Amino acid sequence: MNTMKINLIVNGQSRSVEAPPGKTLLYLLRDDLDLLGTKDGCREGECGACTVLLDGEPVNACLVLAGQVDGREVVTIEGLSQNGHLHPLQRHFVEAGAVQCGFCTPGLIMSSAALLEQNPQPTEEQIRHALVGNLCRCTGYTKVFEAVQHAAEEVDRD
Amino acid sequence: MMHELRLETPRSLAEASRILKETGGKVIAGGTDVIPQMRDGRFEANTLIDLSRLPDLDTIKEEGDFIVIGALANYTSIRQSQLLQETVPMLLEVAGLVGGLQTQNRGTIGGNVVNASPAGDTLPPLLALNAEVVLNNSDGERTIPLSDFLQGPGQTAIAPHELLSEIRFQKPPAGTKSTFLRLGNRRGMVISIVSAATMLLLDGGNKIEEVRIALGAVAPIPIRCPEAEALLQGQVLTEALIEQAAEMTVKAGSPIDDVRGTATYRQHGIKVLVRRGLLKLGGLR
Amino acid sequence: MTELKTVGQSVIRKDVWDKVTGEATYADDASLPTMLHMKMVFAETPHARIRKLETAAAENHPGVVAIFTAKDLPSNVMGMVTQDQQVFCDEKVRFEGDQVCAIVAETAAQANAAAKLVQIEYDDLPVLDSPFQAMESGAALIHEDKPGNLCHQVRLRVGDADAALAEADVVIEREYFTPWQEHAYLEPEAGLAYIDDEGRVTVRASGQNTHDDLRQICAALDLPEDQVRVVYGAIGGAFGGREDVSVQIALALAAWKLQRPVKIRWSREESIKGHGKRHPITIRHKWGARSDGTLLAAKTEVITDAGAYNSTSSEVLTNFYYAAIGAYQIPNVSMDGFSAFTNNVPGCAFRGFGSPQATFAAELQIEHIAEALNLDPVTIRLKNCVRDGATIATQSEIPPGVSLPALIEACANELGAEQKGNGWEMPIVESEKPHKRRGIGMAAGMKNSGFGWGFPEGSEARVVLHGQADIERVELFTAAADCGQGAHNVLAQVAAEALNVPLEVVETVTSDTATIGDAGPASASRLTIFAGQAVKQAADQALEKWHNEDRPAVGGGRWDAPLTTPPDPETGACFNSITYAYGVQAVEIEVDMETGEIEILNIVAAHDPGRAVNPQQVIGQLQGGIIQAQGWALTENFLSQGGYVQTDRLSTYLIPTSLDAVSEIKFVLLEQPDTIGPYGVRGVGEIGILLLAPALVSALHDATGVWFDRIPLTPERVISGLQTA
Repeated sequence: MNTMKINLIVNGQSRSVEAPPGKTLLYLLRDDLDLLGTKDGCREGECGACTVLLDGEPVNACLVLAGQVDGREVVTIEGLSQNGHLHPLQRHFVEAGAVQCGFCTPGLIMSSAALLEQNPQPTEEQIRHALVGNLCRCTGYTKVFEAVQHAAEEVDRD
Repeated sequence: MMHELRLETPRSLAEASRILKETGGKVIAGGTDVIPQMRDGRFEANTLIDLSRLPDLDTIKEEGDFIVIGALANYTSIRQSQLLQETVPMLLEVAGLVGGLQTQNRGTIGGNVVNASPAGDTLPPLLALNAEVVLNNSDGERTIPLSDFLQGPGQTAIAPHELLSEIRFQKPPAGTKSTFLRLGNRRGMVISIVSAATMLLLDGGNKIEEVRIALGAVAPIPIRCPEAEALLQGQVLTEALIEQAAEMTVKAGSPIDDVRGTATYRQHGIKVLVRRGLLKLGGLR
Repeated sequence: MTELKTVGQSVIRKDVWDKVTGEATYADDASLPTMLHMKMVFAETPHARIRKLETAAAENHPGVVAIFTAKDLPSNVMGMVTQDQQVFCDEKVRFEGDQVCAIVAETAAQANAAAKLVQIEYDDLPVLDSPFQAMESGAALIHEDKPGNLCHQVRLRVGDADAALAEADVVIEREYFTPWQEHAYLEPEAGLAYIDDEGRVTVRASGQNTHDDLRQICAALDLPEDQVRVVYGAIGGAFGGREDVSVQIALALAAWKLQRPVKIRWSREESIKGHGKRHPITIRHKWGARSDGTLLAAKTEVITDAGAYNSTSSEVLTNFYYAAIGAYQIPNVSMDGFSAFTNNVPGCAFRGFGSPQATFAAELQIEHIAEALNLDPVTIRLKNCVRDGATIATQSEIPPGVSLPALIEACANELGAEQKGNGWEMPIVESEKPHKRRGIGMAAGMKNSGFGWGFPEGSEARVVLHGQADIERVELFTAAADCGQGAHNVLAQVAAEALNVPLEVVETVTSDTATIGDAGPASASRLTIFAGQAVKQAADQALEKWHNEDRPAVGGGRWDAPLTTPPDPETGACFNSITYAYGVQAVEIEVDMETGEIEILNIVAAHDPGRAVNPQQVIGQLQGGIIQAQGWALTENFLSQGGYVQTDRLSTYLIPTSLDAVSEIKFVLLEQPDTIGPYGVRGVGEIGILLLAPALVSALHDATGVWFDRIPLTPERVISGLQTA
C-alpha cells in the first residue's frame, strides 16, 4: 500500500504518522492517533459529528485528506481542555442538559469553540448559524444554544 | 485501486500543470465534492493533485475594471470579502448558504464551478456577472466565458490537462444591486430546489439601465433569461412589468422532477424568486 | 406527601462528562488487538429468489478470513415478535436491506473489497411497494405462509357505529396519510464481538435491550444464555430503531466461530437502508357527532405498510385499538386495521409506536367536526376528551389520574385563549407581510406506557449497599439501556431517594447481561416507571437488610407490573394499559403563500410527567420529541420507489438543523402523580412527538383556510394544496 509520512500538530503535540494519503483526517485521527472523540456519522460532510479545528477553523474531518494536513495544526475534542480543566463549553454543555446521546456533542462543542474564538458574545441567531453544520437528533438544539450562551457569559467575565 | 493512490502537492501553478499532464490525475482542493465522489467510486485515478497549497490562488482582488477571484477562494473568504460586499453582495449571500461553516471553510468557488452541478449555488450569480474562467495548462492559459464553460451536469469545457485558476468578471457599475434567492426543503444546509440571481441598475428615474437574471436547478446547467432581460431593459421598473418578466423567465427553464422537487414546483419557484429579486432590488417591497 | 430530596432535582447527569470530552466509548470506539473486520453483503434488490450465491472470488481476496452465510447458523431466523426473518437470506430476499452474507477480513478495506466480489444471481420476483398493491387478490406472496400478504389484522367493535352515524347531526369522512420516518440517530450501527475471560461470546453494540439481543443471539447460534453476553457502551440515539437486531447476530457468529474479535461499522447509507422505519399509515375515518359537539361514533379503517418483515408491525397496529380514536370518548366504534407485507424497508418501532400516526388522524377529525359545528378547538376537546372514570375504546376504564382536561385548559390559557360564555376565544394572529399568513393550531393526546395488551411486564434490578455505620457506597445494577435519554442517571436518582443517600455515592453498573437480569427495553416510555420500580424495590429490600446488619446489604430481583389483558379478537375488549402519559400542544405558524414555506413562531407544550424525577431531563425529552415531530411534519420526506430507498443520506433525508428548530417552546408542566411509577412518575419519552404534526396542519388551515390530510408539509405540498383548493 502506498503511504506517505504526515507530520502534523495535534492538540498541541507534534505527531508523525505513516498513512495512505487518500485516508481521511477522520480516520487518521481515529485509527492512527487513537483520538476517538471525533465521530463518524455520515462521511459526506452533512452531520458535523467529525468537526475538528484545522488551523483554528472548524472543518469536517471526513472531508479532509490525511495528506492535506501535513504540516498543519489540528485540535480535536480531546485537545479542548487545558491543564486538566474543562473548557467552559464542555462544562456548560453538561450543566445545561445539552447532551443526550452525545454522539454529536464533540462536533457541536468544536464548532461552538470556533465561534466563541471569533465572536465572544454571540446572539442566539449567530449561534444557530455557526452550528448549522452540526446535526443533533436528540435535544432539539434549545439546550445547546443555552449552553453556548452560558459559556460565552463565563468566558466574557473571565 | 484506491489504496495505490498517490497524493501530489504542487507548490506552483506550473508544477501543478506539469503533474496534471504527466499523471492525468484528479484535481482536489477543498475536497467537499471530490472526497464524497471518491468514496462513492465515482471516478478512478491513481493520483490526486492537491491544489490547496498553491500560493495566491485564494485571493479576491481588483484588476482594473475586473474583479478576480482565485479558484481556491473558499466560501468563508467570499463571505468576509469587503470588496465583494461593496460590489456584488449576492456572492456573500450565496457563500453564507453553502453547507455549514465546516464546508464554507473548505469548499472553493473553483470547485463549485468545475463541479458544474445544475444546482451549484455560485453559478447563477457568476453567470449573471458574465464571468469568465481562466484555464491553465503547461503551455499557457486561455480565458472563456462561464456560459461556454458549463456544458451539462458535471460537464465542462475544461480540457484533460487544464486547471481552473481564476474566475473574473467586470466590476458592476456603481449603484448596481444584486441578490441571490433560493428555495429549499429546509432552512439550513440544503441543496437548492431552485435558485435565482438578479442584478439591477436603475437610473435616477427608476428606469432600468442594466438587468441580469440567472437561474439555478431548472435546467441541465444554470441559465440566463435573455428574453426577460430584454423586456426589462430600458423600461421603468413597475410591479406590473416585474410580473410580466417573471412570467417570462418560467419559459427559460426546462426543469425536471427529482428528490428535491417536481418540475411544476420549480417552474412556480422561478417566477416567485425572480419577482422577489426584482421587487427587492427595485425597492418595491 | 413526604418531601423528596433527590427525585425532583435537575441534577447533572453523571454519564455525560465523558461525552463532552470525547472519552465516552460508543460501539465503534471499542477495539481489541488481533481484531478482524466484517462487511455485510446486502441484497440490494427488493424481491428475488436467490439462484446462486458465489463467494469463491471473495474468499480468495487477500486478507479474507471467512465468509458467513445461512449454512453457518444453527437456526437462521430472527425477529422481535415473530421469527420471520432470516439472519442471512439463502432462498429469497424481501427488501434491499436484507443481509445475504458477511465477509470477515484482516482489515476493513479488504473486507469491503472482497464484498464487491460476491456474486448473487437472482430470479427477480414482482416488487410490491404499497400495502394496497400487496393486499390485491392475486398479488405475489412475500411470505409464502402469509396469504394476502397480511401481516396482522385487528378488529374492534363497540356499540353500533353504523346506527349512531345515521343519527349523527354531523358526519366527517376523510382519509389521512402519514409517511415513513427515519430515526436518523447520529451513531450508525456498529459493534465489536469477542470471547471474554470466561469464554463467553460477547457482543458490544448499541441496542435498546441487552437481553432481547441476547435471546436472539442465543436462538440463532443455539447457545445457552450463559455462553453469550451482551454489553452496551455509550449509545448514539435509538428512538425505537435499535429494538431489532442489526449487526449483533452476525458479529456473535463470527467471533464464536473464529474465536477472534470481530468488528463492524455500517455507513450511513447502510444504516438508512438496513434498519426499519416508522410505518407509513393510511387512516380512513368516518366520525359522527351531535350538534353540540358530543362525539357519537367512529368508523375507521387503518392500513399500515409492514415492509418486508413483521418486526413490531403487529404490535404497532395493536396500539390502534385504543389510539385510533385519539384521546376521546366515543361510545360507538368500529375499527378494522390491516398491516400488509411489502418489499419496502420494514416498519418498526419509532418513538410513539403508532400513536403519532393515530393522533394525527384523530386530531384532524376533531378539528373538522369543530369546524362543521362552529365550535372552538378547546371546547370540542374538553367536551369529548378522556377523564377519570371514562371508558376507552377497549371497553375498559381508563386508569385513574387522567390529567388531560387540566392540560387542555392549561395549554389554552398559556396560548392566550379566553373562556367566554360557552366557549373559548382563540387568539387571532395576523402577519404584517402581504404574502404571509399566520395561524394557530392545537392538538391533544395520550400515550400508553409499557407494553400492555396482556404482555407480561416487569424489570430486574439489584442494589448493593457498602459501608459500616453509614451507607458509604451504593452499587446499582440495571440493564436498562441509556440510549441518550438519561435513564441511568434517573434510576440512580430513584435509588438515592429510596435509600436516603446523596446521589454521589450511587454507582451504576449498567447494560451487561453478565451482571444483571432483564430490565426490559428502552421503549414505550417505560424505563423510568418499570425499571424505576425495580430499582426502588431493590433499594427498599437492601435497606431492610442493611437495618438487619447485613454487610454488604443486597436487595433486588424482578418487579412485576400489574397485569393487562389481550384484546378480544372479535371486539378488541381488554384492559390494555396500566398507565398513560398525556399532553397538549399548540403552535403558531407563519406560512409564505408564494413559496409554501412554513415557519414555526412558537409552541406551547403542556405535559404531565406525574413526577419529574429530573425536570431538566424531562424538558429535554419533550424538546427532542417536538423537534423530531417538526422534522416528520415539515422536512423529512423519506422516499422509496419500487422498493429502493431514494433518500439514503443525510443530504437527502433532511432532519431539522439549528436554523430550523423552533426557537420558542413554552412548557407548562402539571405534575399529577400517577399510581404505577415510583414517586408518581409517568413516561415522557414519547408523548412529546405525538402532537405537533396535527397542530401544524390545523394552524395551516387557520392561516390559509385549506385543509391538508398528509405530511410532510413540504413547501411544494403546501403550494400544491393552496393552488388546488
